[in-house]
Amino acid sequence: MKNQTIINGGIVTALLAFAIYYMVSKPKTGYVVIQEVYTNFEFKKELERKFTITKNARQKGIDSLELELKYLVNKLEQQKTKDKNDILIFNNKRDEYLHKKKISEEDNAALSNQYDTEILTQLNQYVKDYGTENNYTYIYGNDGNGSLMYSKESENLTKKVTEYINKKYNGK
Amino acid sequence: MHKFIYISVVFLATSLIACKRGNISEAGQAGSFLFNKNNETRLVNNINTQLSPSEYVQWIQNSENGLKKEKKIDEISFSLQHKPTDYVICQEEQTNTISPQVLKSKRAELNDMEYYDFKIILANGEGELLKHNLESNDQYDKRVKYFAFEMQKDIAIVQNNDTIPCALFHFERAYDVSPFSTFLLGFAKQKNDTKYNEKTFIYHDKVFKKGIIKFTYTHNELHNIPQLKTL
Repeated sequence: MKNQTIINGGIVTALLAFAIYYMVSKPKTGYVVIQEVYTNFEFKKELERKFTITKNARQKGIDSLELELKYLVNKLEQQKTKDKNDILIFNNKRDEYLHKKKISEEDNAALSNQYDTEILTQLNQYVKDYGTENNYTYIYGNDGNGSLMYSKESENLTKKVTEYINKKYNGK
Repeated sequence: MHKFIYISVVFLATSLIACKRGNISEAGQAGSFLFNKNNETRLVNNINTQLSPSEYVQWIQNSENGLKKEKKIDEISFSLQHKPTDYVICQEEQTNTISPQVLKSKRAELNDMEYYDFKIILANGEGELLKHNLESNDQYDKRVKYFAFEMQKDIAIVQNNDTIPCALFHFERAYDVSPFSTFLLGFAKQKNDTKYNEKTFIYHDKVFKKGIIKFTYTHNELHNIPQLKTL
């Protein structure tokens, strides 16, 4: 009876030790679907709206120059003998149009890059904060390129992380 | 004895499950009591508490009370301190005994605005903020000019869908090597200033390219504040 008690006590202690080891050593992991988190990030949505407004405003200026250019082309086409002055005006307008179009495209690309950098900087920081606050060892990013081939659905943190990053972004 | 083993195993299993789900339970409990950082459901009523000027200043500056908020993005931290009128008075008077008369007249003088201190800080606490990741001397001058004269237009408070521009702006220039810059801000108080759920401070950081920085205060955070004790 005494031996039995010792054996049973040993089993319980071993189980307890295993449980503690299991809790301490097992890294906590999860994954997020990057595209989903990015698409639903409020900061991204706000900057997207801002970018569209700026881009449209720039485009309006280009469109009105294009219209003027079309008018000058029509005017020149209707002339049997081309007026030298009109040709000069057309050439100047065309140069202005091409120059402004190029600048507008460059500015749009630069703004888009700047916004992308800002979005990714904040997104990365907030995911890092989520991991730290919730004791994750790894949070993997599933971007659909095969880097994460399979994971249990229970490890999917996309919804929780999206909620968290939006809350963080709003300074709550 | 078998009973003992059975109970032990059940206990272990329960502990394991409870531990694995620990984060969810903790978060749920934290959301409903004193230690909730969001203060949405704070149960403590601070309005009836009276504090001396020094205690009052400490209370306001304690980030656990919700008036000082901080956010770190990469190597830069942003911090916002809401300054109730009485706090500004304490800072101006620099004494631990303020008479009711002084308090009354100062309140009348300051009450039409709400005040904040906004700080941009190098998170590692080293170096000079204005020279951080500097690409040229010209860029340094541009930063100084922006902080001193242009930044004001990139700051606002949104309350009930109204955007309130920054009306008072002062860049506290530190001429020595300093890992932070402080901006003293003031916003005109709205007519229905008590009727809102949240106030959101917004700053678009273009200098360090961290994007839009927001800090949201709940109505409770801004109004559940102790009273200032007078003589």
